[in-house]
Amino acid sequence: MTVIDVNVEQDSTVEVSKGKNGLVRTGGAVAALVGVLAILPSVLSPFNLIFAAQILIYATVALSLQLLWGRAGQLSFGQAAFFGIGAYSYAIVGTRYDIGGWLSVGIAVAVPVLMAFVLGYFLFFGKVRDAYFSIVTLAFVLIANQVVISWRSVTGGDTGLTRVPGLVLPFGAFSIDFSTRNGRYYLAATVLLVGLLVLLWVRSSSFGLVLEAIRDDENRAAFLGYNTSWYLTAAFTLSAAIAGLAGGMFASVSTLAAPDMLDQFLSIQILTWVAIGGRNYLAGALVGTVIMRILSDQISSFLTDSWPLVVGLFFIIVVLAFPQGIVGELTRIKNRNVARLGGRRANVSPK
Amino acid sequence: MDSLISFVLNAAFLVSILSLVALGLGVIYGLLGVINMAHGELIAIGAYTVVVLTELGLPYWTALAVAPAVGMVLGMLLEATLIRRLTDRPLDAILVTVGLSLVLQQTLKAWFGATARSVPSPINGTFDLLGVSYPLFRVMIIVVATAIMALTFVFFVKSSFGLVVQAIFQNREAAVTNGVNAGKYNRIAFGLGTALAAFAGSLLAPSAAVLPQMGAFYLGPAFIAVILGGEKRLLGAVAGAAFMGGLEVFIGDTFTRTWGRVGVLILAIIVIRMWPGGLVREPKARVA
Amino acid sequence: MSAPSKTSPSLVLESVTVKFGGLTVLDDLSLEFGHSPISSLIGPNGAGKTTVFNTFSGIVEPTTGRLLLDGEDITGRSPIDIARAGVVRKFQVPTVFHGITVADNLKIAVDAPRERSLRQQEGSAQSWEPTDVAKQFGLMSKMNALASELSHGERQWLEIGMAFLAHPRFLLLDEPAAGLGPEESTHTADLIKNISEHCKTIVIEHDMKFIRELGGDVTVLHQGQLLRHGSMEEIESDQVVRDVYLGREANA
Repeated sequence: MTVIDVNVEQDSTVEVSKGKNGLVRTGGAVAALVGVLAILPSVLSPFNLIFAAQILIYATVALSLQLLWGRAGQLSFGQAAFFGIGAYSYAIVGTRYDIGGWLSVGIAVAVPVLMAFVLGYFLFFGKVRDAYFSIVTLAFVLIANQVVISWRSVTGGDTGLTRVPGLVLPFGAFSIDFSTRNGRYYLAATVLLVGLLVLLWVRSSSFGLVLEAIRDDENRAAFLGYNTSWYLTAAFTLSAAIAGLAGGMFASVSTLAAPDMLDQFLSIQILTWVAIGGRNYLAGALVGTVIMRILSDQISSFLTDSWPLVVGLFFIIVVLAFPQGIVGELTRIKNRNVARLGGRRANVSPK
Repeated sequence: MDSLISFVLNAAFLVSILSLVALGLGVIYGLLGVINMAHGELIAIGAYTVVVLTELGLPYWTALAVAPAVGMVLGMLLEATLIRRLTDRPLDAILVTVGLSLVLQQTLKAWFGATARSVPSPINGTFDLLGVSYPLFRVMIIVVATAIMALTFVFFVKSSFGLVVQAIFQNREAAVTNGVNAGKYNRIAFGLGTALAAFAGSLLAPSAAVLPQMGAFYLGPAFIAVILGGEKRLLGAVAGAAFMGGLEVFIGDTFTRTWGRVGVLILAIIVIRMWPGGLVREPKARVA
Repeated sequence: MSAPSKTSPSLVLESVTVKFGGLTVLDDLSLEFGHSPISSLIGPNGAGKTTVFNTFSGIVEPTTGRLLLDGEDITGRSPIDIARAGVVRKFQVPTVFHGITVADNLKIAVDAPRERSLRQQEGSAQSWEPTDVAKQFGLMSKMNALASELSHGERQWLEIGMAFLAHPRFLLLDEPAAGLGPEESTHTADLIKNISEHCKTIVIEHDMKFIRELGGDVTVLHQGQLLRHGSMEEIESDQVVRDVYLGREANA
């Protein structure tokens, strides 16, 4: 065919090099994170180490919400439900049926996955999206909470389940004991890294790209032939898998499963972590969780019971004034400086 | 037969409260495109208005008239300060109203404490229907709620305000280009929605434990009622409330209350899957 | 590269009526596309042009009548299935994925799922790569820019480029020259002529000069019915068409 020569530029190397740089940067960031995680046990007190372990697991749930909200554009209140269902699944099989090891991890993931798949399938193929989707997930967490509180014989009702066994994972001939104090911390760190690696894979995959396309314009994606309902169902299910894993391991690390691991307020808090850190960034979910958990700990030591008020105010201010969150704002400032210094172009983040 | 009658009365009670709540949500969503997550706190504010006024010695009936006015004023204030910035940013509106819900709930808790307050029932008799006796006050709630709903519909169908609102429902851009001051209508509609919630709360006050988080019980089903009703259809919201309330009481009476909740959610999700456009709707062009 | 595809594609409306409420938008309309590489669909506002596209792409289901692709009845199929069968659409208002880069927009288009038979077809548009299209459409220097940073014209080209990459057998372009300046418009016509060597292209346009530049055959709709079909010269000299459409345009 005849090529019309308009603005043909030999610029195709740019993307490759950008991709490579991005990979190096991401690799560097993950390595730095592993370094920090490795140092923490030697600098933190035993009490703070378990506190840190809980933060790492919360951060994993925040990451799982970032997939659904930041990447796929669907705001879910269901994260705490899947977290809690994972926690209760692990705790119930551990305390009542003496099931542990890989099987208990598998159950903590499988139960939320099954529920998310069924719920997601019915909602997304029922054309429920956006605000309506958020509402149904809210109803889901409210009802899941009510079930957990009233189904006493299995869930322990208001008090929940205590003395949940820790995790011992066999690897062939030997096994790793994650039930010691340091072991519990390393379990949390492993959960975070597993979640992070899965989500980094999604970010670089064509699956993740299609999710972003659906976020931007679902109809356009459908008219290209993508079955967008399947993609959203898959994202919802994957997100629930990570949240469920985190929940199960949270029950193992804190040796209990309680109704406040599965309630509306936890869901709202997870949303604030992601919103405050920066909803469009994986790093945002991490940063937001760490800051808000430490802040929560500090504030509740002198202002008892007012944490929900602080969360509420933070939420309103961030959404209205800094919708891109901490990482988003930092990126903006950095790009502005780069642009001023003659950089190629400011990478203004979407929406 | 007895159980049928008590089922009908229990269902009618829940449906009438849910309808008021859902109607308020529906008006706000229809006009502003905002899902008001703080709607439950307005139910509580309506109930607390009754608590305060009756403790001051005023009759319940006065409080019943004041509560929706409080809801209306508060709603219009919220619209003017916060919600105004969020029209057509549906997800951000959800986040901000979630924040607002926490702030309002904590404020109520700080003011009135976390223990339940109660309001004495203004009517103590029972009502005998074919051998089933039922609290007269609850019957009154059903009647009053139905009357208010009917009034709301008449208002939307007959008044010039209502007609403009319907025009905005149909096509916001066209209405604005035709010189409709959408901002003014947004404020009134938001106030109307919150007034309905506060009114529901004031009706509930004598027969429920008045708590800052009391609205949460009604909010979930009311939201789903709006979805079931189909987008931007007020009558649909009431139909959805009838579905949610009726089935919840039916399943709850047959099994347990928790099962009522779980069952009705499962059924609602199945209905949404089967009739994506909602229960009440017109044929429309299909979009992916 | 310009080897014609083995089968001769055809896209047909068979006595299709579309009603919205009481309003008849398409009235027992029969159209056949596929003989000519480029076909243009014109007509005054409200003639039903976009509804024809909406029917072809499965957005609107005919009240009566059938929709055929290569003789196969595809009436009632979902937009996703129709896209997978190779009927690809560009919208009137350019719609691209604004939050991701131009390169990623093109990648999503070229990766779009297709029926196996379509994947295996040789020649035609199937062998194209995003960089080929970016070069053709002058988007090479913008590959790493977000789609939201593009100009209106660039966005039009990106969407046409995406539709072209998405393995089309029929490319439906709704007002590809809308909002473009004269030079951009001519360039767009050249691009479309170029891609029409690889897939059948149907264009809705108001701009008569643009349609003249495109060449190909022209179908005139009026009040949901077929008014005339022929070459641009025939259409322009047709008295009936002049009365209902072109004349009005000239007077305006």
